Amino acid sequence: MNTLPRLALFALLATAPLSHPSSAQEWTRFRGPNGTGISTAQGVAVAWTENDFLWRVPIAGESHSQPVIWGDRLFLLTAMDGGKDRSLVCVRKTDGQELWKKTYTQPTHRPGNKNSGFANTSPVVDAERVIACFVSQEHFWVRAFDHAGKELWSRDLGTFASQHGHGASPMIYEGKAIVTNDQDGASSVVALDLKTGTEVWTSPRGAGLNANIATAYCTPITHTRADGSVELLLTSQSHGVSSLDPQTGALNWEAPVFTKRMVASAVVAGDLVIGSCGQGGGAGNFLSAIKLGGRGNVSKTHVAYKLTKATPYVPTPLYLDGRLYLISDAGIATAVEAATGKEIWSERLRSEFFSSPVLIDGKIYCAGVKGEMIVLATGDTFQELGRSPLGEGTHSTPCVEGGRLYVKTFTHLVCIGKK
Amino acid sequence: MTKGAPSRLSRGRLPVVLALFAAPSLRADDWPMLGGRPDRNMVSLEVGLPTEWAAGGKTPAKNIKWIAPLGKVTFCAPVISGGRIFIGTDNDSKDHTEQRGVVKCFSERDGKLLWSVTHEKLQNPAEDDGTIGVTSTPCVAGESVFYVSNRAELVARSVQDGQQIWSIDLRATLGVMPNQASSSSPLVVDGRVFVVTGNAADYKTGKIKNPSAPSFLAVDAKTGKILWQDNSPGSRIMTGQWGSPGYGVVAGVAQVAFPGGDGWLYSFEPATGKLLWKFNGKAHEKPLASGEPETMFQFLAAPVFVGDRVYAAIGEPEAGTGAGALRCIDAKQRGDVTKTAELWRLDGADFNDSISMPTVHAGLVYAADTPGYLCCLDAVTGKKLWSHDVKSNIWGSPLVADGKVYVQSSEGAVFVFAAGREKKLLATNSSLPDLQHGTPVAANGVLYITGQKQLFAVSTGK
Repeated sequence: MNTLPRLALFALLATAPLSHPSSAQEWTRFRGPNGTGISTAQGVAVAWTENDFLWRVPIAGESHSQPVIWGDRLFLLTAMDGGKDRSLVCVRKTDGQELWKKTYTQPTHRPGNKNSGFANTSPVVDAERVIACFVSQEHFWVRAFDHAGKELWSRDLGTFASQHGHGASPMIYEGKAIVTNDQDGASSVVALDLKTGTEVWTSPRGAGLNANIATAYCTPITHTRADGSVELLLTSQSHGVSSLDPQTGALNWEAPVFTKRMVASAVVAGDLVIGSCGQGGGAGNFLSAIKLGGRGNVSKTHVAYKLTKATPYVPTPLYLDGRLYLISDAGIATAVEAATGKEIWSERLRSEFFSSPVLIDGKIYCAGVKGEMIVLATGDTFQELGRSPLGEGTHSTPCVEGGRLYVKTFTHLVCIGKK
Repeated sequence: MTKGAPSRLSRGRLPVVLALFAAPSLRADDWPMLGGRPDRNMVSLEVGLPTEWAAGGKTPAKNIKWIAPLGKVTFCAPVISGGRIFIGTDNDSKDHTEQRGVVKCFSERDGKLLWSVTHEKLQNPAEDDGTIGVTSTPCVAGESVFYVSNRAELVARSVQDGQQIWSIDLRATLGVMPNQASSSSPLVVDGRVFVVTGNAADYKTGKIKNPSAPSFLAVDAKTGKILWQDNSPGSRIMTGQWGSPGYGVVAGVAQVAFPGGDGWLYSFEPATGKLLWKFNGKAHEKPLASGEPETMFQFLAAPVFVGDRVYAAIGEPEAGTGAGALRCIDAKQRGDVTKTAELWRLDGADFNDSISMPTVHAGLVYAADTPGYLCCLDAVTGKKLWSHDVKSNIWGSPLVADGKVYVQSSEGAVFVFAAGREKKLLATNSSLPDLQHGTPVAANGVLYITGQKQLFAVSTGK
């Protein structure tokens, strides 16, 4: 920063607060602003040592939950005792001090899976409430809290059947908490009234399909069309990439062209929306770009292209300035032209990822399984800008706010960034 | 090694030592088991194999002899014997009944289906995952074909018509509890069938239900009578046992080596089941403070016997990826040889986890790791001469044939290198549809490439 010409620095200082008036609430849900993974923060370091951590605190149990932030409070989920106890934890952002914790006992008989724990999802927060899901085979609890940890309401969506457990985070849209319940049993997408938890609408999903394929892990995003109307974009194997009316839950269109499990969320890239599917071993993983704006089943009419090389399964891609950035589970970073799918570069990072990358100030931050943050440049040339410790392995996506990164590692929460 | 092999296998085959260090023979031959021979060393004597091929469609087909339909998911390599091809798969997508395990037999000449048999799935997906079929690569000996079904049955069938000769339900008879897949590929030598039973920890609880159930089995090929069994891994099985045995004659003594779910390799006298040596494949790892192993890696591929040595690597894709270890072990020693028999080891940043069999040819080792590096090493010193990053997982094994090295990536490309101390990539073939994990094999002048849904016979037609 200090090498920037003074005028440029001044320009940055002058415009940043204007263009990002709500920077204190920039990471309120999974993958930040509308689930894009794009932060407006500037001046975050690209490299550091453990001595540079602003703070690092243990969080009881284990989790892959991305923290969300409002004001000076971080909210995240964790699971203790093999998933029997699940907690929503509130932590002060200045020093990592735990402010409160709400714990619920929830017996679980799901098979152990090292990669997917019992607290994989993120809460979602607005000025008044924190919404979080607590899911086991027997119950799908959606609970609302105030910022002080008082439970406001709860609602049980019923049983949840799945090989690898639950992983879709709730989101908020115009007074509604929207929860995807794509599972191996009866599936739906549900909108609950934020104030009361009562159901506003239910959209049935994927009935009658092979039960083994229905569980999906995506968190919905919104897309504002040219006419100002809004659609919800979701991914699941049962419906592929699909669009719902956020006011009624009615299905606008679907592209059920994905033959494997969908974990990554939808990404809008110009007039396309990106979906990807796969499996842990990486065989047969692929990504398809679907043209926005269809009606009904658009499988035959709206698939723009399909990519099969090094496409991610769990991590969600990033879109910036006409390029898609793909960070694959096996650690291959690829940039493609979003409009055509044409590869620009593809390089091995020598790491593995469950975490979704985030974009900060035009740089790609990738949090690796083995506990390192790899920072890449965007653009037409591959460039690794930094590789720095996180203190521990992680499957969680970073939370970015006010020039700081908050990263949940397996058992700790670490804060990195501007002093 | 041919001394110990049944006459059908040894018929017309050059001694292995010549195959390794002399020019390839012009003789064509069958490929009746995983790795082609009991030593599991993926060297083929075929010549005139194609370097490039194309599926057809938008461009004309090139070097495709025939295409035979498989099911939806295929993890086996085909085996070729007596004019027939055998492969494990599942039922195809047009079959709307329940998922099943399937073994198909095709005519080698034209890929026509001769017979197929099906196995119902087990009720519990923790023992028989709902998405897969038969994953054991069959072994043909004489007029019988042997494999392990998705139900953990060791099955012997007539090669002629698929009629069952005998079957051992390893779960009901021996108390074996598999972990999601029964994938051991049997080995038949001197009328004995050797197989890893697949006894495992419960996928749901991580507990070993029956540690006294055998891990390793020798069965009379004719009658199905159990000759001997061994449960050495017992209560130390980490997750499951999915590997396959390998066989060699070392300093005049026959031995059959089994990969155990405890991370050890166990070598026995084939006739008696007497332990000759064992080696701890996790000796280089640092156990965690809790006493847990550093990784869940174990020997999963069959050990490869060449001369007096065994080549084997550790890995386990479900357990993630990381630093692995490829070893060259002196098979002449006896007892617990962990501290003394390692001739060299490639590990750390040089070699990741692997479930692929290394291939040894002309003093060089070709080995692939799971993240997707194909390495060429000096077989004597273990020194890495070159490597190639295919940027996609490799689960299959490299085939050395006709002066070339063939290796298949999980993203559907078959890479063809010139065999030798210098890296030379000859071709990247990626036009065949639905290719994922697979191992190219060759027999009687034809290269076989396995897709998920189709088997491709690739030949220059010369």
